[in-house]
Parts: sequence; structure tokens; C-alpha cells
Amino acid sequence: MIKEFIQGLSITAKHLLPGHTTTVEYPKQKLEIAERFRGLHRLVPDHDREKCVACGLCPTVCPAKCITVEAGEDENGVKYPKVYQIDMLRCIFCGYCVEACPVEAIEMTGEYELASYKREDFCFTKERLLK
Amino acid sequence: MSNKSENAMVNLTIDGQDVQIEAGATIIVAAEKLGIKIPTMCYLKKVSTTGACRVCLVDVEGVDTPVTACNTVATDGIVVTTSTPELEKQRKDMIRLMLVNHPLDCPVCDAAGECDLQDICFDYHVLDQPFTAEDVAVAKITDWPLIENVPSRCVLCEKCVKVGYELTGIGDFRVVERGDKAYIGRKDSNQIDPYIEGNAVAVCPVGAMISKPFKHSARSWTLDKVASIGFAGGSLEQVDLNVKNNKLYRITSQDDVTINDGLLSFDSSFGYGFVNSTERLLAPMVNQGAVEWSEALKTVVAKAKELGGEAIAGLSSARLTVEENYLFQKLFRAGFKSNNLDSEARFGMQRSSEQLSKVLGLRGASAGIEQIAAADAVLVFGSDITSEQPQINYQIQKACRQNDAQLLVVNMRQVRIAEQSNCFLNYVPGSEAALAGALTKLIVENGQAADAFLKKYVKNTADIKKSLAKVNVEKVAKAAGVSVELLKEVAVALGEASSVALVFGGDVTKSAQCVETTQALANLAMVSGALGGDAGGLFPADEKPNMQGLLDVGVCPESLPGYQDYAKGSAKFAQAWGVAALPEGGMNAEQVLAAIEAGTIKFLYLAGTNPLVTFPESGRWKAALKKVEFLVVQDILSSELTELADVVLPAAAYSEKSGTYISCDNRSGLLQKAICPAGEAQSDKQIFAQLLEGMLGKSQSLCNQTILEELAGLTDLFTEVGVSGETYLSSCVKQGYAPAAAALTFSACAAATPTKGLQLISGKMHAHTGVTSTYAAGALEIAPEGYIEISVADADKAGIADGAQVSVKSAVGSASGVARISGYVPQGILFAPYHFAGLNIQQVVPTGQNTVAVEISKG
Ligand code: SF4
Ligand code: SF4
Ligand code: SF4
Ligand code: FES
Repeated sequence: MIKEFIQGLSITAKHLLPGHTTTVEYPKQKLEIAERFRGLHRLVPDHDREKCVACGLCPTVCPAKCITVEAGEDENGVKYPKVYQIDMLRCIFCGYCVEACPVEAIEMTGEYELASYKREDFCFTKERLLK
Repeated sequence: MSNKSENAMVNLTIDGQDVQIEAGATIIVAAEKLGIKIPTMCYLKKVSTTGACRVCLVDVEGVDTPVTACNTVATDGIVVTTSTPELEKQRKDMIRLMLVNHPLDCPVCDAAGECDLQDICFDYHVLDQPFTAEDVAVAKITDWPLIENVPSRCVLCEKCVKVGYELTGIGDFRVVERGDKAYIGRKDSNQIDPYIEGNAVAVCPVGAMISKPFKHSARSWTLDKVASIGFAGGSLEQVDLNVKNNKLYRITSQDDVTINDGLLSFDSSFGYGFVNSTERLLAPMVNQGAVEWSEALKTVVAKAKELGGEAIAGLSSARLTVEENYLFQKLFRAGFKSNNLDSEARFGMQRSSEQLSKVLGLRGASAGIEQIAAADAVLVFGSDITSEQPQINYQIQKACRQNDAQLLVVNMRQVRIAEQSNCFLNYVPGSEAALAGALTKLIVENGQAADAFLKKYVKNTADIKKSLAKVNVEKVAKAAGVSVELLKEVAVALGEASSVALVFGGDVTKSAQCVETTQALANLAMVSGALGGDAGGLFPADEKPNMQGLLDVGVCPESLPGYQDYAKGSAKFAQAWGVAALPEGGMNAEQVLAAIEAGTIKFLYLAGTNPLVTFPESGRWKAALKKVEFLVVQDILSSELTELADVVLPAAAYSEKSGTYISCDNRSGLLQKAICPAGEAQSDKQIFAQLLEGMLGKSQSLCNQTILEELAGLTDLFTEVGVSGETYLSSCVKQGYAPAAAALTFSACAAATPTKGLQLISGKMHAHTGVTSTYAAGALEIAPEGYIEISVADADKAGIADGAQVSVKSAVGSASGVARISGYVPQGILFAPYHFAGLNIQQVVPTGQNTVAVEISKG
């Protein structure tokens, strides 16, 4: 029994040696994220405006009900989102919105550093999402 | 007409099931009876079939090729199969063909989610579209008022065309071009058409007809539908209020299950925007400063106690519910101890209603409005019915188109319904009573009077001959400016018809000759046999949704609820309300105005009514309202009136409260609360109840049912009180009308008193209702401001150009606005809509009239 005990401890000890730790020293060090990682949303731009046509499918499908879309019409009679807003405090990063979009106007980026000091800052407006 | 063939039945088999239907019915009707659903795109039960889409293909045994179920009349013994692999394939191809030029723009199309094409593609799993064709992209039409048309989405089902031609008589849509280039256009897009067809949007199965006020504002599937009733027109219009996030987005209706079969009034289609207006009153105000409710109410109560009942007067509105108006008169009589209460009905329907009751024992219409559709002849007398009561118009259209009824129109103007009539009598103002008398005489002379009816029900049959003897048809025709031949033609049509519907409206009830004309029309109704039977009837029309309910609960000094004489019934009501006695005397609106001028009325309470714009002699009212010591205005929208008020009480709009409306045909409908009141607004019922509590120190129930029961207990208005109905509710049942034997009175015939010189008529226009709709963006798109309609001849004579600024002047006042040269008014007649505070045409019109002699001048 003692033998097994030593064996186990030696594994632990080995990990204590420099160069053997599994801890990632965030934020000094960052992991490379997977290609399909679902982080902060981005509205895809299309020429001088957003690609989104304000169809309302993403707010419909969103399980957290955190997307607000208000449609408008520009001077050329084209429908566009007057308001497009995501409340990141409620978003569960499921990606359903991306899947639902018929025009591939919304995608999810690798951005996951979303901490903020103010509640309002978690509300991502169209302008912020287009960046 | 023989009814024999209509009742014959045929038997057929569909998918192995036997079914029996009336001869002449189509296969699809038979299938529906069995609960078998055949897919359709261009089929709309309420209009004639188009047979354009061929989606409804079915097999009939012994017939080589499939037939369209929607327009193939079933014959006896046929065996129909609705689904085979081959049929499904053909159907799918038909759907694919519809997609050839259909853009895939569901994401930006308002119809998405309620689009028949979307649904059918989903059901049939249509994922591809192998056909190619020349791309005939017709640009979308954005310059029509209120409706946007996207031709590329159109499937050419022609429903929008047919709803206008067959059901409403309003629309001017038509198919332009042919083949794959065809699209929907309008008959004449140059002239402004004051009548706009909102039902085209409702019937379009796809997103080709789009409502501009609603466009892009919400996705259909996010809206909650609350079953309620319409806010304009005195007939019950069962509608769904589409709401989301405490906002009213649009009003829709449903086919089959509603009594209006899904047909909407203009107001429901486009005029609802006032509910969301930025002009809504949001907080109570005392001396124009916002205060708490408790303080505002305390101020009113304190002032009422200080001044005492005799100095207080109040005016209510036909937009308030039955319960609210009941509480209004209770508040006045029991609370304020004042019988100085009245309403806008004083200048219109009240007078007619009194006469109908006196001579016919009738209150409101003699039958349900669906009896109009069954009539053989319809006489529309002094009413722009298309705009006044759209649901009656739809019944008339049904009578004409489905039953081939004769349509006879008597009007001072070339109103929309006149264009569709078989005979149109365009009379000179002041001759309406005499005209009705002449028609009565002609029917009797032709030996076509309903003698059996007269003998049984009329008590003074002997007088009929006597009073008709005094009528000189030639003289009347001359005075009225109509040809004798035409007059005779109308009389013959009325006489020959086996059932007659008489509809009359604002041009009778608001006119100087209201009493005489109503009596003359009652005579005509008796003689033409309109009052008995299960088709036709006598129908007084009014634009306000609860005019009948307002009259029923006695908001007038002379009668208590249920038309009980005030003096006689007051003891009973005093006891029921727990007060010592009801006040004596009482002034009507006219007398109230004089009393304010004389300084005896110091406290005026206006509930949902705006005398500054809507009452005749509005200029005089304005001066009086400025003078009155204490003015309480309870309303939903801010206006010049609220600026004059000492206390402003913000009320809930119609979509924000519940209660009963009673239609002209004595049906009740229950208004449903779909959203919360704007700001701190409260329902009129709540406000009256709290004031009543403040005055009497006793609590007042807010429950509609309890209030109705109290009303029912004190009157014989209802046979039943209680909520009934499945989706669209009603709250009480009123007694139907049946004349008693020897109970009707034939009145003496009035002579014509035709007016001379240029006459101005003030009245309702199609796009607006009351003043409320002037806060609705949709209605304003058609008519942003008032105008004065003038004939080409008169305009030429006075040297007035279309759109020029003109003034009209009468003995009581003057008004100015833009001239609109139009073919809707004959020479010698001007017309101005009364809704607009800017034009304020009612300044020109004397009390108790709707026409007045004016002079017109430029500038
Ligand atoms: S990721 Fe999911 S929860 Fe977040 S906005 Fe999209 S649909 Fe909503
Ligand atoms: S689904 Fe796409 S197009 Fe539609 S509202 Fe969302 S982002 Fe815009
Ligand atoms: S506009 Fe709509 S209702 Fe009219 S024909 Fe086209 S698809 Fe049918
Ligand atoms: S539904 Fe029968 S042809 Fe269109």
C-alpha cells in the first residue's frame, strides 16, 4: 500500500516542478481558441451598412430573449435595423441567432473578454456590434 | 325568382366519404363539409372564385384531367379523389410555377409568418424551382396612399380586386397587363380618391399588399391578438387588436367566425394610430400643472360641492361604453345633484330616436343589419353609408351583388354608394322629408303598399289617405330638383320589392328637418312593409360605435336609463342609488350653452367630447368655454380644449379598457382591454366611480357585469345580462323589435322647404371619425387637413382654383380652408368634413343643422 502511495505522490511532485504545470497564466497568457468558439457577436458589414435586413428571426429564436431589433426603411426603400441590440448579460452564447439568420448577417467572434464595470456597457448596440 | 332549384341537393363522394350539398355548390365546399382540406391559393370563400392558381386540383372519376375544386360545381354522383401521388406532384409544380418570379424576400416581407405561399411551400416541401422565365420585375408601387404594392410578390389571385368590387364597393384595384407581365394597379391614380380600401391588405394571401402604417413595425408572429370590437361605425365589428409590448400595432379580423366575416372598416385598417399618439394625455392636471390623481379628483369634488348641482353641467360621448355612460349620468344625478347632462346625440341621433320611438315604438334599427343583405331593395337616404357605417355598406353590397337587390340612393352629394345605385335622387337640401312623403304617396298610388301590414299594425290607417292627399308629387320633385320620372322609378322599385331595407344617416339625423324626415321615413317604412318579415328593415346609421348605448342609458335631461321619463322615474332611481331625491329640471346641451353665456352654469364637465370642433356653432361654444368658471375635460388626447381646462383627467383609450358597446341593431359587444392605459390614464369608468365615491361617500363597483345588472334591474333594456360568445364576447342581450298590433302611427307629411343659394354641408368623410382620427397618422395621410369641396361650376363662377385658400361665411360664423374641386358635390353645394380643428367648419353651422347658406370668397 505504501508503494502505491509513493507512486501517487511522485506524480503530484512531478507536476510541481517548473515547466510541468497545467495552469494557464491568464491574462498574461492566453489560450488559442477553437475556430468554432462562440464569443461576442459581430454584425457583418456589407458595403456602407450592415448586412442585417431586420427580419426578426434572431430575436425570435433566441432562448434568452436578449436581442432587440427594430426595423426601419432607408431612403432607397430598403429594410434595415434601426435598432439592433444584444444584452450580453442575458446571452447564453448558444449561437442560435447565427444559425437562424437567413442572410448570414450575424456571426460570433473569438472575443470573450467582456467584463465591464457598468451594467449598461453590457448592452451591445448596432454600432458596437459592427466593429 | 324561384327558390326551388336553390334548395335541391346533390350527393357526391369525396375520398370515399359520402356528402350531400346544395346544388350549385363547388367541390371545395363539399370537401369542407367533410373536414377535408384541399390546398388553395386564390380561393376566398367570401368572393367569387378566380380559378387562377390551380393548386386545388382534384381527380374526378371519369374525367381525364384533374379539375380545380374551388370553381367546379359538384354534380350528382361524382366521385372525387383529393390526393394521389400524381396530384401531389402536379400541385407541387403549380406552387413552383408561382415561385418563378417570386423574390425570396421573406426576411423583409411583412407577410412572412402569415403568408399562404410560405405555408404551402412548407407543407409541400418545395425546396427548388426548376423553371425559368423572363424576369418581369415590376418595381414596387410606393405612391399609393396607405398601401404599398410589391408586384413581384403578387400571385394574381385577384382577391384584392374582388373584395373591392364584390364586397365593399370601395376599392379601385384592377389587373393591369396580361400573362406573366400582369400586376395589380389602380383604376385612375391621378385623382385623389377619398375612399380607400383597407381590406385589400387583409385579403392578400402574400405580401403584395402592404399596409404602410404597419410596415416593418412588427413581425406577425410576435403579435398577440386580443378579440375585441371596432371603434368606429355604429355596427358591431368584431376585430383582433394586435398588440405587443403594451402597444397597439394593427387591427385585423377573421373570416367566417366574425359577424363581419373579416371585413374591416377604414378606421380599423388604418385609423387606429391615435392610441399611440404622442399627444396622449398622460397625467392629471389642475390649472395646467401635473398633479396626483387624488388631488385632481379632490379638486373636482370640492368645486362641485361648493357650486352645487344647479351650476353644474356635463356632456358625454358615444365613444364611452354603456357602463361608463351609465355611471356618468349616475354621477351627475346622484353625485353632483344635477340633471344638466347631455351629449353630441342632441344634434343628431337623439332627435331621430325620439321620433322612431313615438311613431313606431322603435329604438335603433328594426332588425339585425344582416337583414339588409337579404332585402330585395335597399334605399339609402341621406347617408354616406360607406364612410358612416362601413359594416352596413358591406351588407348593402352583398344585397346588390349576391341577391341582385335594387339599390336606390337619395343624397345631396354624389357619395360613393350613389355611383353604384340603380337610381340616384340628388336632392336640394330641405326637401328630404317631402321626398320621402312623395315616395310614400307613389307607392300607395301604385297599389303596391303593404296593405296587410298597415291594416294590422297602424292605428290611424284612415289618416294615411288624408295626409297623402296633400302631397303633390310634381311639386315635390320640382322643389327637390329631381325628375318626376326618376322619383317614380324609385317608388316602383320600392313597391315591387318583396322586402325593403331603409337606411338613413347623418344627413337626416343632423339636419334641420330631422323630425319631419324621420317621421316621413317611418311612414315609408310602414307603407313599403320594411318593418315586418325576415328581410329588410329600418336602419338608422351613425358613425359613433356606442350611439345606441348612449341613448339607452339616458344621458339627457328628459329621460332616465331605459327611456324612462325623468320626472316619473326619478323616485325609483333615487331609492336605488341611495339618495333622498334626484334633482329637478335639467338642461340640454343647447340650454347649457345659453346658461354658460348667462353665467348660471359655472362648472362644465366634458367627457370624451369636444364641442370646440364637433358641435354646431362651435365658435359660440369656444367663447362660452373660455368664460365658464370651472372646466373639467376628461379625454384621451390633448387639444385646444384641454388647454382651456381647469382640470384635465387623462382617460384610457378604447384599446385600454373593457366595456360594452351597443350597435345600431341592438347587439352588444364587449370591448377587451388589450394594453395598459398610457401613462397614468384611467378608464372613464374608474374616474366616474371615484368621483361618485367622493360625492356620496359610498363605494361604486367597477365590474362591468355588476353595473349592467344594476342597469338591467332598473330598466327593461335587457332580456339577459352575462358574458356570452366564444372568442368575440357580448355582455348582454336586448329585446328584439316586433311591432305590436295597431301600435304604429302614420304621421302627417311635411312640405318641402328647399333652400336657396349656395349651401354648405358639414359631415363625416371616409378617412376620419370624430376628432380622434385626426391624431392617427394613417387617417392623416388621406386627409391631413380640412378642405371645402366645391363643384367645377361653382368654382368657375367664383374664380376659385383647386387648392386655393377660400372662406365661407354664414349667418353664425365663418371659416377658411383650401378648396377642393370635385365631382362629388353638385352645383350649389359645398361640402366640408367636420373633423378638423384647423378648418373648424362647425363654426359656420347653426345649432340643429348640418347645412347652411353661405357665401364663398377667395382668401
Ligand atoms: S447566442 Fe443564443 S442567447 Fe445569445 S443572442 Fe444568440 S441566440 Fe440569444
Ligand atoms: S436573423 Fe440576421 S437578418 Fe434577421 S434580424 Fe437577425 S441578424 Fe438581422
Ligand atoms: S396583390 Fe395580393 S390579393 Fe391582389 S392579386 Fe396580388 S396576391 Fe392577390
Ligand atoms: S384555389 Fe382553385 S384555382 Fe386557385
